[in-house]
Amino acid sequence: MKTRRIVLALVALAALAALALALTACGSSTSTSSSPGSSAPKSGGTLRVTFQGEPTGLDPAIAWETESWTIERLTYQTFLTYASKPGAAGSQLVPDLATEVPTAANGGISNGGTVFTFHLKPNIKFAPPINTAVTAADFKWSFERMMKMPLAPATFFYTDIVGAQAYMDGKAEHISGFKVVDPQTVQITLKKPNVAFLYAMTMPFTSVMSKAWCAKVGKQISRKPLGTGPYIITSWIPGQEITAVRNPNFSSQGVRGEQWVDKMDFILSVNPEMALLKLERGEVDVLGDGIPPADYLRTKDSPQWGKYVVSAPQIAWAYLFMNVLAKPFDNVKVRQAINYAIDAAKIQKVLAGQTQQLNQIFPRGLPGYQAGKQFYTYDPAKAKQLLAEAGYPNGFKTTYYTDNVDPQPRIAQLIQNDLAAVGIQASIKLMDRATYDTFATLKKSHCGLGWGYWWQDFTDPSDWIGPLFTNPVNGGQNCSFYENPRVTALYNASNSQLDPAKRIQMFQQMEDIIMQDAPTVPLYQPIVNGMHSPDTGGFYLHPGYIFDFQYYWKTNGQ
Amino acid sequence: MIVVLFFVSLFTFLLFFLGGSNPAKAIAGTHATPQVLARINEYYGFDKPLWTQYGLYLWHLVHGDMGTSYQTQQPVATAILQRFPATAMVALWGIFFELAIGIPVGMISALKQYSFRDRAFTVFSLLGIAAPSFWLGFIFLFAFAFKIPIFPLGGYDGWLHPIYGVLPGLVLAIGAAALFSVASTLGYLSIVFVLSSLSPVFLIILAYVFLHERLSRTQQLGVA
Repeated sequence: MKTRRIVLALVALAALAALALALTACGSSTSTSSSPGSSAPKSGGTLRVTFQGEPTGLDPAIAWETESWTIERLTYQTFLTYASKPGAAGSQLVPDLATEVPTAANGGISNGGTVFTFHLKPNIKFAPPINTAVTAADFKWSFERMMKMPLAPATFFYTDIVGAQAYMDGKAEHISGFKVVDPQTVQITLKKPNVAFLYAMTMPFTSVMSKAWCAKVGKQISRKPLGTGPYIITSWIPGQEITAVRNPNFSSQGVRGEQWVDKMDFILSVNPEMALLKLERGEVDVLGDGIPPADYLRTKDSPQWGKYVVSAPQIAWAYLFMNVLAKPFDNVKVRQAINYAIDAAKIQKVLAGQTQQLNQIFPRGLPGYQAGKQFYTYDPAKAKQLLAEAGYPNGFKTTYYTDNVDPQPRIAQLIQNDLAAVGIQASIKLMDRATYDTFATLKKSHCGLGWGYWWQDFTDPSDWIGPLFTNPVNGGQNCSFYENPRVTALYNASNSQLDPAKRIQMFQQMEDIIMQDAPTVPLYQPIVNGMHSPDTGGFYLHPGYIFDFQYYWKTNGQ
Repeated sequence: MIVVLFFVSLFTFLLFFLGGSNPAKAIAGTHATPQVLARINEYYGFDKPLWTQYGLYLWHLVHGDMGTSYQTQQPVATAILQRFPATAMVALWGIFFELAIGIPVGMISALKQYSFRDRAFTVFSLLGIAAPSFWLGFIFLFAFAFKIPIFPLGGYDGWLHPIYGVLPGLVLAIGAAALFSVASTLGYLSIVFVLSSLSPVFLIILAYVFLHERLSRTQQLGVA
């Protein structure tokens, strides 16, 4: 009797387990998908986008994450922006609220690259309920507001403006170098030439805001944005949803006249796997976090859904850095040896579909990238030889530091194996992301070999070389504490090189020197694997902004 | 109670600051320069000694000011209140399912101890305790929201649409109900204790069951 009961209990248990497995094993989706609509843009409808996180705030002076910027761009505009195109074309500067991009030829850049003149487009109005016309004075007010905010994280892009530091320190009423020449013209003067300053003017930190609106909403400005852009944020339920509707005052603007959908719904706190299921059920149009890595291959190969997967390389890179102040990484031969020892191709295989191998400092999409250029190949024999020449014929012991967010631990094991193959015994030390981000930047950490990741602030190679390979300071992003006077001299000279082609060549020269000194091992460039619903038209991935929601439409007008 | 709250506040405060991370960097992002971080440190007082910061925090707390979030610059109290209705809805569904599953299962297990039903329920209870809730959540969503579209695929739409809270409440409840029913097989007293703190109604129900069972047993024995 007792045995029979035990058997029955086990059968019940097995049945439960089988049921669970059966439910999870069914992989195919059940939704019906309409065939892709016509390729002509259509007005009307609601675009539904999911995000797992949510913007910390929509105050353009402060916000600095993907979720914030993609939604801010619907409401706030700056003088300049990037062309709304995929690939390399998307890194071209185009005017947004300015009439044209300042160049030496049109007089917009003058005085050897220190004076920048912006002409405001006519008939620009703030969104309802403000409705007033925008003038140059509004730009000055917005900019000074940003520079004065203690929480503004990006003031360092603009401290080279004459009088900016004095203003920030409270020693001046205004920024003397930011001049309102007339109601339609702004002139900015820098302390020293910097052609890349134009890029700093594309960032949302320089958006024009309404003084009247900020006075009206006070601290709520972070939750109640108002600008000149194509859409107005009408509601934000924290943790749940942000809604945007078309701005009636926008259609007067020329180039960026696209406002296809009537409404946009940003659904927040959605797990990326759930978002994919919702899209397959027809409830969502764009996955704000992309396709979850575990589902990527299956979705891409699916005959029903594969055609809605859009992939594009992101302008970012992952790399190893070596601290040139910490033995034995102070020896250039050791650093070069490690470059030969790492098999980056294997990492791409393990991260199937999420990354693209990178053999240089500048990723695809960044001016300065050279297709087919490779500084080091995978050559463990050469690595061993170089180590012997450096005085370490039997390798050495060291520690590899990284954070504990997937896939860093998996990559750490691959690195450990590659190093062991040439005699370097590396133990892995993981820490949580926030801790690691600070740890890696401090001299006292003596972090000899660590994981690095950098994504663009703007699409110019100066954003790569400057923060990462010049002017090392304690707590800064140059975790290799690398400095080479030739690189620094070229970098300073590039700031006043007005010929764009010559300037890019200078950055490629800097890259040659840096890779020769080898303080870094480029590993890969991440790929964004985006997905849209069958009813979404005009979908593409922008190299810098990732999404360009105001250019998408609904093929069925719904 | 006050002592417990004090230590909870101290512990969470210390956790936040002694984790080794830099709160200014969490606010400004990893690209910020040391000068920017210094400015934020000065603004929020992160460069003051730890006990000074804690003292200021406690002072504001006892005056009803929970401060503002470092990340969103919005008042903390508002942020908690805004999320309260959704939390309350899931919690109520959770309690409902916990009792709806746990009480009958517990009672049957107690009344028919060592029967087949009792053993099956024990297996069910052990599975319920062992299954991680996030996994269970995915299984339920996949089965009952995606494959068989009864429930919505996550989300929340206010108290007028309580259906959004059903699956989350169910997942929460399964773990709790399992514990509940296991506890009940150990004896009536523990159930009585727990339920009496929940609601007198259930106390009455259980008292009836208890007395009824006692009465029927004594009748069988031919007493009274």
